[in-house]
Amino acid sequence: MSYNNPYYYPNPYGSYQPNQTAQAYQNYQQNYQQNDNQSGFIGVANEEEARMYPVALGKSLTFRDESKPHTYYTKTMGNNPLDRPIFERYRLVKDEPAAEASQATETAPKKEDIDLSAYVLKTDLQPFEDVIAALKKDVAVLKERTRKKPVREVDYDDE
Amino acid sequence: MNNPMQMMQMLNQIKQNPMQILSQRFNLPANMPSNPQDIVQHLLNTNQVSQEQVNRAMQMRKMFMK
Repeated sequence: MSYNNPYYYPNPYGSYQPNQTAQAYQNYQQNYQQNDNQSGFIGVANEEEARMYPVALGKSLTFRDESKPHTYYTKTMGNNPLDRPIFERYRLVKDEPAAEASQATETAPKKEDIDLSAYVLKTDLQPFEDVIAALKKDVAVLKERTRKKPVREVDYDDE
Repeated sequence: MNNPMQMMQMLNQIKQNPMQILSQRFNLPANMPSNPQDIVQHLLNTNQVSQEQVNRAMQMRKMFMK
């Protein structure tokens, strides 16, 4: 321990703590290097911050929204300062291989993928069942009548 | 290098009228709106600062505002 160390000299002001500003600057340096060198995206709190971010003429910046996952923005400036900047919003979607994707859809079809307008409820079909039953009965009666009625023979040679 | 007295004077000037100091230093037009975004955009458009410097400044601002 420190007390066993012959060179140990207790600090009368307590342990040294860098002030808040220095600490914040250190954090900034670490974060800036991480953000800038690794991802190339500029982190923003919301879309408004990205829209207001100053961009040099003829340059384009990409922003990552820290409040909405997988949401990115780009702001592109033209070469003329009078041109309006082009602002675009993107959503990052995971691209799965085709085989995995088809397997996933086969096993668990998503509710929103099914077009429910093509289906009716059983209760909606009940009146039609009754109509079909009545029609079937009529067809059976007609068949019975035609079977019982003797076929009239026509002799075409009598003309 | 400025001496401490000059530095204090500059600091007081900045405190009292920041737009005046900025206008002198960066030759801002008289009708420039006094919001940071417009000033920085003007400095970028006139190549007085680089995008890299702006990114660093914005990042620092974010860190210190937390």
